[in-house]
Amino acid sequence: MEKLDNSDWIKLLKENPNPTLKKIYQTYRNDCIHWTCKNYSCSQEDAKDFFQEAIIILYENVKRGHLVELKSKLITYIYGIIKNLALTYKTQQKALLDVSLSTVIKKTHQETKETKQDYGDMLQVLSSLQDPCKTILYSFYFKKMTMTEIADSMNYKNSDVVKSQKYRCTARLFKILMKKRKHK
Amino acid sequence: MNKKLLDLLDNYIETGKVDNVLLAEFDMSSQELQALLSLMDDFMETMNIWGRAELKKEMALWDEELDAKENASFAPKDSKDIPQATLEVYFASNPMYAHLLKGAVRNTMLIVETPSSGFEWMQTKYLFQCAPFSYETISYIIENNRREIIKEDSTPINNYSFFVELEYQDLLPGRYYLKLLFNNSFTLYEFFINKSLMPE
Repeated sequence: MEKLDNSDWIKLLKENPNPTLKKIYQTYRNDCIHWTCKNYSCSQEDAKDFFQEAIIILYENVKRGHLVELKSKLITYIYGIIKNLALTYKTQQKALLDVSLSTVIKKTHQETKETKQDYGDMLQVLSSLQDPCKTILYSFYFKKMTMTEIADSMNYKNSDVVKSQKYRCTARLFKILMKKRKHK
Repeated sequence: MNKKLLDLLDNYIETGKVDNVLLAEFDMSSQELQALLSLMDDFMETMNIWGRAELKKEMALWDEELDAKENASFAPKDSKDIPQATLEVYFASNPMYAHLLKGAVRNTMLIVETPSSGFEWMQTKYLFQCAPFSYETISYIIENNRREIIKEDSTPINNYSFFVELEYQDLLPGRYYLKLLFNNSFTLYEFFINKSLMPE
């Protein structure tokens, strides 16, 4: 396990999200799954689901500027997220009989969002995207990668090439989305 | 949808505010603007849902890679141990490097005579023999096919030859690249570990 201090992880996640997130995931996966199973008496599968959700939440917190500095070790922060997820799951499990963790997680995120028909249509359009548009839009809008980082990861000549491609992809995508919305 | 409008929308997504300087270039009613911004809000909500699902697919690949590393104290000799899809990922050619190899990026100051590119790495220390040139050390970088650095070091040159050491038995089967760095340029080599596992 690479020894970086807490500020290094946050800085690397902002500057170089792709390899850093993978590094964090692979470094802490086994420890977190083991800790979760031990503390919350859950299956390996459920523990892995918690861990994956925690990594996503960690990344989103850094992206959105909610997490700028770690006051504890990174793994302690991840454990904290898992603890909140596990407690929420137990509460919701009582209300929803005999459902898996992944179902609860999906419901937590999508319940209020997908009730709007628009989200369902948009999800369909996004899911049908092909590369390179799929990777470019995912990297830019979700992962918040810079044009240079995207160019590097996709082996494009430079960031200007990515920018042009992104314009084409976005223009095409928004045109489809606006057309769908007009027909409602 | 022109670039300036896309810039306006990207700026809104990033800041949550409409850039009035950019907006002034469009003849747009407030109703049209609101409809566009509402679309952007819904787009970003959906992007977060979709993005999470895509990230989980990436995590599944990270799991496979980590599981393969943990299960192999040596590179597995039997392809039954590794799923076909994983082997395809490990042996895939890096598009940029494939292009460079075709164009034969060569530092003309350094000409390596043996081995040829595409060799299989089968011993801890590999000897590279070069055409005569007069330098004392050479630096090198070894990367996997995802351009992740495996090793970076330098080695002395004796009688126009040098050794590169690599604990190849600790590495996954797959395609790798060796960059020999010299005079602000490099010579690129491709090599394999456990080439017999390479999918056809």
